[in-house]
Amino acid sequence: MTIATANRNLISELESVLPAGSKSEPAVSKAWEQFIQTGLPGQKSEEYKYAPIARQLEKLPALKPSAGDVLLPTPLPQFLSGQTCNYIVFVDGRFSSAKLADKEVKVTTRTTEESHDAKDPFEWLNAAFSPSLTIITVEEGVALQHPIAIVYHSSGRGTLVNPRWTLQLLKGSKATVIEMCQPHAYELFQNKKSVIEAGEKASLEYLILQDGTPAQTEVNHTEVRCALSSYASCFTISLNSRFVRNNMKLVVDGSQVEAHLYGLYLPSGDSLIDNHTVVDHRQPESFSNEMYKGVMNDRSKGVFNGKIYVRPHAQKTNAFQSNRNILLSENATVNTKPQLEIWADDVKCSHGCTTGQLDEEALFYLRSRGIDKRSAYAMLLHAFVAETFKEMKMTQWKETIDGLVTSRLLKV
Amino acid sequence: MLHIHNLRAGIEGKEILKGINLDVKPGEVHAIMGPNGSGKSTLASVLSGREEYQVTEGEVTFMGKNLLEMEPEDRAREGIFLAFQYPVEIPGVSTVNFMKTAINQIRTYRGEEPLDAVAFLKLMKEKMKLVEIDQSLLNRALNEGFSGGEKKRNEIFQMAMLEPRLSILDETDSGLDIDALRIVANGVNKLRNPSNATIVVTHYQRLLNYIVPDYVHVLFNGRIVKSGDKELALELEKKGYDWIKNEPATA
Ligand SMILES: Nc1ncnc2c1ncn2[C@@H]1O[C@H](COP(=O)(O)OP(=O)(O)O)[C@@H](O)[C@H]1O
Ligand SMILES: [Mg+2]
Repeated sequence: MTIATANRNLISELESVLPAGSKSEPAVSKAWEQFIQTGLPGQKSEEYKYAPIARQLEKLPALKPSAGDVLLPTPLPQFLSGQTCNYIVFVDGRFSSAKLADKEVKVTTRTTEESHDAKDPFEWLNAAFSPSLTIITVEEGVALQHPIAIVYHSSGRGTLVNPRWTLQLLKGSKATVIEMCQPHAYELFQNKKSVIEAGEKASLEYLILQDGTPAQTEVNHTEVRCALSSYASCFTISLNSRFVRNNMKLVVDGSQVEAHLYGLYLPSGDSLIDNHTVVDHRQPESFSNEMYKGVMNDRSKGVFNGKIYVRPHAQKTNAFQSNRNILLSENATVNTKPQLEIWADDVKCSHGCTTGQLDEEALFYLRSRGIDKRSAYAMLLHAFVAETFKEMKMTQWKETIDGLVTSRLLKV
Repeated sequence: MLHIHNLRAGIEGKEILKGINLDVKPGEVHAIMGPNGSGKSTLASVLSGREEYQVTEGEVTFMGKNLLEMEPEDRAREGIFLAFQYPVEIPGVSTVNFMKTAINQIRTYRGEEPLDAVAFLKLMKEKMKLVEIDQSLLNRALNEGFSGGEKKRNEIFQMAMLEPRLSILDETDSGLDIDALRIVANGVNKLRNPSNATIVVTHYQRLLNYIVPDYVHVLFNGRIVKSGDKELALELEKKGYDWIKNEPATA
């Protein structure tokens, strides 16, 4: 990677706003050094080829974290209104408060430790600006009665927010998790790092909802690690942001794992949504299924990159991937690339990607039944995208998402 | 009801309909027969508003309105229904789910109150009986994995639901075994009344034993070359189409 040569020197700009004294913390100084070494991904970066993040950051106001005390949040997102949840709230990227409904959930914080396997400069950047790590733990053997809601607020005081948390689902526990921003209109850069560890026989349903932050630029590092016999079902629903890069990594670290990755992206206007996913099968006899779909409108861009690794040891792996896209406008684009690296020989893997327009024959069929063009369009698009959240077990969220998606599609 | 005068239409610069004249009055059943490729489906497509086809000459009025200026959905709302020769598959959209939207948009267009869920269900149950179709089929993605007969029966179910003024059945009999044919024809006959009309497009006489036409027209090479009553269909069955091909066009 090359350091972006730009009018603005983002690196020195960032260095000047590192919290005072934090470089004396070994983890922070290590992270910062690593970040400087790798630099921001520039034009030659393979990983960020279609997501020119450095150029995007240059368009933002001066990057600086929020200083001073951590603020308490304003009301909770409407999406969750009336729902009892285990709320874990970050304000300007820093842990603010926890309002827990279930006694089996514990929240602690500790100093961020050096992470050795980070490869991406934004992970280092996050560590440098997040000296504290929030750890959420769900007790062994407990099926949580209420969902865990991780909510990011912005006060407008900081333009650089670096939330960092880890969720541990201990052996045999079960949890539903949502992660979302409280809608806001601040121009800022969110650089998130989170890890969910699904322990042995644990079960996870995880929704990442990206909506209501039209001026936000985001890079999200999301890692889900699955231990023996665990179950994970993850939904990344991206409806509305200016620039989103999701690095989603699923590590299958045990046998008899069942894991599903779903993704939906509906960029419009000039926005860009880039989903880079990695499914890493490290143990034999597990199953993973990935389905991402996108509908690109206006001049927007969609990117999908799906890596599947099947390590030599991971025999009898079943890993499936599909990515399908619809372009609604001549100026919309999508870049899609599956990357399968399979070192084991006794595996079943498949992948497929398609990009096309809406089926004109189907459109005419519906219109010939008296349905107006706009509704027919929305109906077909809805049918196309609904598959990505059909399997959500949290029916209340599923219905709300269905409503959000439907109203979005009626506008195209 | 339907008045077609000197209709010429084609696709991609190729003329397919070369001056069609046809009048359909309420209560009538017209059969349009003719060999493959003569333009029957093209006529059905032009009447229902398929946008790929260009009309180069002539006029079509329906209930006194210029049909050719209308969007496909407005034609449906005015009461035109096309049972497709090749119904499309639509993954993720079930018949029930789009029929509700269709009926209510049509009702709104006509200034009627939309049907609520209960009334819709009642109507659906009634029409399901008429075409002997199972609800499980209607809840499935439209035509996905349907047999040929199921697809056609589903078309007639939709026709029953929408109660059109003019139904155009494009080769609804093709691919049907004798039982399915009887069910489909039965459905069509039960829906007949003095104020609606049907155009049956077919190239076999077989269907016309069940749906008895008032008029039979032979379409050949983009023109109606012969018109008659149901005896004409029997004659065609016996002699084939070759003798027609040599007849001069009837204006
Ligand atoms: N979409 C199309 N593009 C080009 N030619 C077409 C198209 N549709 C129909 N045709 C041509 O128009 C003629 C009439 O076709 P059609 O109306 O389907 O006949 P029929 O229904 O009587 O069998 C045929 O020669 C056919 O090849
Ligand atoms: Mg035909």
